[in-house]
Amino acid sequence: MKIAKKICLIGRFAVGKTSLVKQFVDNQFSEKYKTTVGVSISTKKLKIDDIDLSLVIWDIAGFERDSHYKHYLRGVNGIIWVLDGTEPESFEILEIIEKSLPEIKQIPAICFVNKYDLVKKWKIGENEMQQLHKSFSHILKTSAKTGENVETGFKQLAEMLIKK
Amino acid sequence: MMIPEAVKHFLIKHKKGQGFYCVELDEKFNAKHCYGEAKELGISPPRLGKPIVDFLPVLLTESFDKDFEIPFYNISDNHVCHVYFTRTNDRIFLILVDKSEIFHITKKYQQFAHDDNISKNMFKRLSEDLAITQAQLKKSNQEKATLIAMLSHELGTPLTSILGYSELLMNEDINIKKGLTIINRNAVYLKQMIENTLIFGRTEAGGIQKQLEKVSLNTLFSTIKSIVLPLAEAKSLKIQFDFTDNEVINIDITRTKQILINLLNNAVKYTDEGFIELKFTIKNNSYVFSVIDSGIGISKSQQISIFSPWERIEESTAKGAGIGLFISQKLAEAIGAKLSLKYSSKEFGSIFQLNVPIQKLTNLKIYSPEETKKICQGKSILIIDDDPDILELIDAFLYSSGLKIYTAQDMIIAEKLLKDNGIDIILTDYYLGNVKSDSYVKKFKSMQNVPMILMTALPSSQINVQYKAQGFDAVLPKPLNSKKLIQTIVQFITKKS
Repeated sequence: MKIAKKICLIGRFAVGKTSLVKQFVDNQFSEKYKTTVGVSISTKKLKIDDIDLSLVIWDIAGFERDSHYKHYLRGVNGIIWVLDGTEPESFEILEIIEKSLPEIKQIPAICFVNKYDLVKKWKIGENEMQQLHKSFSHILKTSAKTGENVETGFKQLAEMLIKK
Repeated sequence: MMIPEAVKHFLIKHKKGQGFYCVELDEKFNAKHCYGEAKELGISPPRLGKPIVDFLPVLLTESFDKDFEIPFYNISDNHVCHVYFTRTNDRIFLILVDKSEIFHITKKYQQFAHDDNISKNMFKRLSEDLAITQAQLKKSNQEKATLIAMLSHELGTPLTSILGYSELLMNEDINIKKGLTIINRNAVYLKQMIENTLIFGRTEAGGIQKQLEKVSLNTLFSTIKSIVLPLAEAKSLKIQFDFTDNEVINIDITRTKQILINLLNNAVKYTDEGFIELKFTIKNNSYVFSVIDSGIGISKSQQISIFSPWERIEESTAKGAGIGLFISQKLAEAIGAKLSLKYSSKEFGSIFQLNVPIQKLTNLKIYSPEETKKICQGKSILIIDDDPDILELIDAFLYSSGLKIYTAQDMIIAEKLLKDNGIDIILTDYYLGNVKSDSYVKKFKSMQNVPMILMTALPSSQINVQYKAQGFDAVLPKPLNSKKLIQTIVQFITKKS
């Protein structure tokens, strides 16, 4: 069976959304920060059980405002929330977006706390992680640089979407 | 092909003078007609009659039930467009409006703004880290200043007694036993203070080394008793040592003793009447030492911070620096043990508990004084220390061992003694005036290949590794423990024989 699912990456700017997609799709990483304007869309084919799944991955530019997202989130099947472990302010986006787009909570989602390669510089504590666990059943500490948990995370979301 | 009127209107509304490409679709969303130049947008035109998804795979997951738009869709690195899907007058269009120019301008400004923001955040974090480091440094300096102020005061009192009573003894103005008892009590207090201070310094530097040794409970408890009993008796307190069997246990004697003495000292300090008890049991594969007192107890609010440095019980006027429990806990951590306050109340006093995981007994033999004498008979030791009092003290420690003792206050004398005599073992201090003994290890070993033991006031696992790399065979911590010194010497002599 062949199916296609649309997933969106949401997160503040510079949290590593584009790098995560690049790592997952092309196995590549660049240290240089390049801002995303609008949306960059990639596809990745996965085989889960007997299903040929095409993941259409929407890497949406990082803004803190909600108005920007509604065009891109239309018909989305799953969301990857990307937070930056070294930047506690990146956690605020969850509240901002959920407040203005409450329907977003109904969409299957997974959370990446990125930049795990810089874990010694992480500024988040157990409290923040506990808060996250209230919102997400799946939280992964990822590193777009080393690839740690990147493929696992995308696949976990893919499996969630298939089972749904 | 003529552009349909509907598309013209749409473009006037959205295009704003940019390039475009339009695909008209049939009801099954297959490409029907194309308008504009696909090349200008960096794409190839769709194959007519084929699904629009083949032309733009991004639409694979889109539903076409309503009009929609995808702003700033990045077709490639150079081409960006707004994608519109619209139904107008029963006709279906997919319109791509070139936004590359505005995209590049926006990207430039956005990159600049984000880079600026990232730099500011980085600077903010660095400033925060710097502020934390500065605060830690300030706190550490304050603690050191407090320690020095406290030491000036705390060391002054026992020293006054020691000097005063030794003068009385020299003038034969006082009963000898009474005078020596007072001197001994104050010296013990001084030793404890100095040891705690040294350990505090080592704890700050992060270097405490675990040293396991076999000891019988009788021996351990009688040493502790000899130190604590005079203090308890001075306050007319009853002190009990409770253990059923005289077991031989394998522990870090020095650290365990230090912790228990600190706990018992505190118990004496904060108990005005009643009793103090040191109890030993074995539970859950651990040696459990409990220090129980009937003292003034510790309030709930103070129990939280009782193991922090400079904490003292507010209700008490007892002397002390307030580093005893902090040091004891650090020592417990260093030897893999756990120190905790099990109970405390104003009515019944306190119970502190030290849990030391049981370590397997090694086969290291402990030599009796008779065996020591037999082994050391005819053997000789060279002791090097620039302090004549220390030389005399070690001489006294080894007096009954049977060893022939040579002493030297500097390396020139030591070298001469080594040249002229057969030496079996060397014991040396590290700093000998301006000379460090490590620079002589190679030379001395080439003269006589004998074990060299180093005495140092700063033993730590790191320093031990460093000294051993310099050629020393063993490191003994200062202040010297006479039994440990003799056992170490005997073990080396036995090995050599």
